[in-house]
Amino acid sequence: MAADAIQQYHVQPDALRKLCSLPADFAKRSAENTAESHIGQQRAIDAIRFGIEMQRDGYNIYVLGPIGSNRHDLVKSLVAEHAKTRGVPPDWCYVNNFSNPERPQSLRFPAGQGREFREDMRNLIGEMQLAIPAAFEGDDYRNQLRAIEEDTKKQVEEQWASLNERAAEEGIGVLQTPTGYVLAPIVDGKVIGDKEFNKLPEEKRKEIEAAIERLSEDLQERVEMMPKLRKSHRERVKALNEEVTEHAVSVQLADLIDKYKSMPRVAAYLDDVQENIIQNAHDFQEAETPTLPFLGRDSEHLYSQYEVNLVVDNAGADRAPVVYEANPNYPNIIGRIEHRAEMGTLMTDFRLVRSGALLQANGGYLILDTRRMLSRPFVWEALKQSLFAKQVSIETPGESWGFVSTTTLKPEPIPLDVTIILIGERWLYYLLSHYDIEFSSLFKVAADLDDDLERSDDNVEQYARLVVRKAQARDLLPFNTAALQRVIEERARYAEDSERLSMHMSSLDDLIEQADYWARQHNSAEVDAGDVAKAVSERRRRLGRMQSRVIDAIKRETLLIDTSGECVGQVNGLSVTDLGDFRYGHPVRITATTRIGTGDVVDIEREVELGGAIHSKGMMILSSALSARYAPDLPLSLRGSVVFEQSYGGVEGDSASVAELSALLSSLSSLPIRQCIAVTGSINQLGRVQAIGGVNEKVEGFYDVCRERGLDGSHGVIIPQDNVKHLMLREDIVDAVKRDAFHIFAVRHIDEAISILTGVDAGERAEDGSFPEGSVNALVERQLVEYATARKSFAREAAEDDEV
Amino acid sequence: MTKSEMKLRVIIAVTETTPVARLWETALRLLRETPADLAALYLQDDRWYRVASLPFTREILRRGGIPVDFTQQRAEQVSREHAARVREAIGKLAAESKLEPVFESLSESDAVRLREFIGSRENIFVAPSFISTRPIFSMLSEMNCRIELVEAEEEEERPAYTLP
Repeated sequence: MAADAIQQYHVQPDALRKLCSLPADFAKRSAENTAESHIGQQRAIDAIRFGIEMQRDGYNIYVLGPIGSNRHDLVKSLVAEHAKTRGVPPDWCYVNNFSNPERPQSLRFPAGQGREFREDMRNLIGEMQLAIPAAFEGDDYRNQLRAIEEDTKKQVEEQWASLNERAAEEGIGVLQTPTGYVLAPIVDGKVIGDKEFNKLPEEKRKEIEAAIERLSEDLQERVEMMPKLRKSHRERVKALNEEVTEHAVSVQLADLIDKYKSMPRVAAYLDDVQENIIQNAHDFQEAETPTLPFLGRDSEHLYSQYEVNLVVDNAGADRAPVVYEANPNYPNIIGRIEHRAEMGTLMTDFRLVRSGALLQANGGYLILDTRRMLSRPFVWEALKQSLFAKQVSIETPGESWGFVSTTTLKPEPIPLDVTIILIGERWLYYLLSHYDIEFSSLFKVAADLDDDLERSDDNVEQYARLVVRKAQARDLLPFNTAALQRVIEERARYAEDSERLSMHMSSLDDLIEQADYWARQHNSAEVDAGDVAKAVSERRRRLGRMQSRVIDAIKRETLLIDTSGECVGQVNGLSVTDLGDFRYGHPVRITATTRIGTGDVVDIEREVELGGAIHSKGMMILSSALSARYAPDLPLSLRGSVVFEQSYGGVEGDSASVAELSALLSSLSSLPIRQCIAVTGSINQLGRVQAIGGVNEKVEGFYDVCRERGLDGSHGVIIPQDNVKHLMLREDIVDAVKRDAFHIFAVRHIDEAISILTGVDAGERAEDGSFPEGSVNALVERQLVEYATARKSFAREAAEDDEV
Repeated sequence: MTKSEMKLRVIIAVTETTPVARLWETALRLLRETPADLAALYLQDDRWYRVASLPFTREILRRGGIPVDFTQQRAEQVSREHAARVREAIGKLAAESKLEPVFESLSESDAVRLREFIGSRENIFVAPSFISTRPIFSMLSEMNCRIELVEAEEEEERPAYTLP
């Protein structure tokens, strides 16, 4: 192919890197007129606004966008703006349920009054702690109690006095053992034994035995009467205690009941409190200091059961709550029931119920990271359950899932009215949509953040103003116009498209911060384009160890890559290695061999399971393109084999299919391929060359290898025409192209690529169906016809042999 | 070692019905006046064994009023429990005064062991006044023991009862 024919495929230098042009005084003007921080995200912004204003069931929001897209700031600022328009939600408290302490009851208060109620109850407890013991220590109480005790004592003493008197009359003594009583005969004031007893006359002995028998029955009756006396005594003391307690607390409680009479549940609770205090009046007169140290909690528990556990406190708030939970585990979202260790046992009560983010955000908005939330056990199911039930039930996951059978608290559920905003990657959204049938009914609003922005003049200016604003917010040196232009260019490069600008904000932040660093290194008062370039190149250098190892291996011919000369069936493909936050391109040798066969093109990568699905698809398309274009009337009697040489890892993607087909065509036509040119691009069945990803890295990868070996003007890269708009190449490559030291060729069809690679015209099929003599396609077709003829001949000979 | 060379001993003599506190005060006063050892002698009451020897005696239990046989074994147990109660009362008073008296429990009728316990040492007996009518008083007098009688009424035998 003549050099001037190849010229038509050259990409001009000005298309290799689309430069940014801003007015010279742009930076100065923008310092006082910065941009909105969320440019280019209007669709997502509208979706979020729709979601937060749509106060209906299921209108929760999923914000789709990659990490670093500023999604959190966007959501928080929009939600904070709308939160001002919503009222402050109520406070919630948990209080003791006196009839069923395992099920604490919830009380609702207007914002701020929960705290007030808690203080009121604290004051009540304080007053009770003084008033009740004081009442029990008063003379009135003591006198009444003493009267009851003396009355009881008198009854007891009368019983025993009459017994002793009666026994003495009959010459019997009542002796007391540690556990009971013994009736014994007494003679001359002394208890007698069997010797003395047997000396007595028989009549006397019988009298004594009969008397003891009678007295025993009497004694038994009196002993049995004692518990009744005790019970009667207790009841009288209890009635007295209740009367004293009621008198002591009724004044304080009456004020509270009157204050909260407009809240029926609260008033009912206060009635319960009063009833409980009176019923347990006896407990309040116990000494403060316990007999044993571990009994101390009894005294504490006595008053703490009337405390108030304020789980949601909106006092002082002037808008609806906006809560972001950075660690969305089960307790942090749903809440938890804490325990304290007492004498080796875990104890809990209503005071240890803790609210989670759902309750804290109740009446407002809860923002969660999807990935973090899904990675925490039980959270997703519990969250959905709460949203469906429109209430929060604070319980342990074990209890929620029915794993725990021990008795614990089951607080009364609290009604829930919250808008959940999940922030996560797109694939998680699609995954949830596909596999969780409940997801779509709970998250009806998707806010999809754009990854990039059209590089229009207006958007460029907005973007540059955004950079100025960010620099100001981060206290960075001011960026001059040249620096802003350079930043814009790098953002197009990051977007892999000269016509778009990346909206990945964290990488933009990194770039401007690092440019500021380099500017400060040379004591500059502002950031210049050179500082931005330095930030880019230094980052590449920091992360480029693997890339330099590959180039070194090629240079030392450990990795075999020819960048000069010609070779049949061998072509330089281009590959991109992705290391997460850095990727680089490098050439890879692709070879092809052909021989007579049954129409198979063997992809060795696929055969050894090193090729991915897309790569295999590319190979099959290539195989189909081959059979469709050549010798259509004959069976494809070829066995071709294609391999990525010295590739020991997986190969994925179809961007090498143009290179692979070129190697096959070279092998079939026996035309050598120029090794000074690398090629990238995918192909369809009709031979059309299609766009691929990573075009900039691929071009730069081959350029770096050629530069190491010395550019002589022959080197270049063939890329798909459709990728030209994506070119944002390094400036040194643009310079090399301008000097004719390096070339970029853009092609639309495999014929154009093979023509450049072989230097021979591919040739178009004429009306008679033939290709021009000597063209690549004519040579390929001739070879395939020869294979078909030979195969037919072999088939005939084999049939004759079978007949013989 | 002669009698005069041995250290003086103060012996508190108690029965199961003796109020201990007043005897203890007297013993302390004596110890303050003269350096001496301290011992407590519990005089067992034989009445429990006498009662148990009768075939018809029953113990009516305080809990439920159930009657059970009052045997010699039970008499021994009751006697021991009374001794333990007195010993505990003396031990408590001794702990408050940081003293460690020797405690001996002997039957009043066991003269041989009583003489053995008194021995040839110089002893001062601190005893309740009502003991002067008991046989041991005569024995102590015969052995030329010094006896400090303390006015203390024998505790009345009355059924124990506490208010709930």
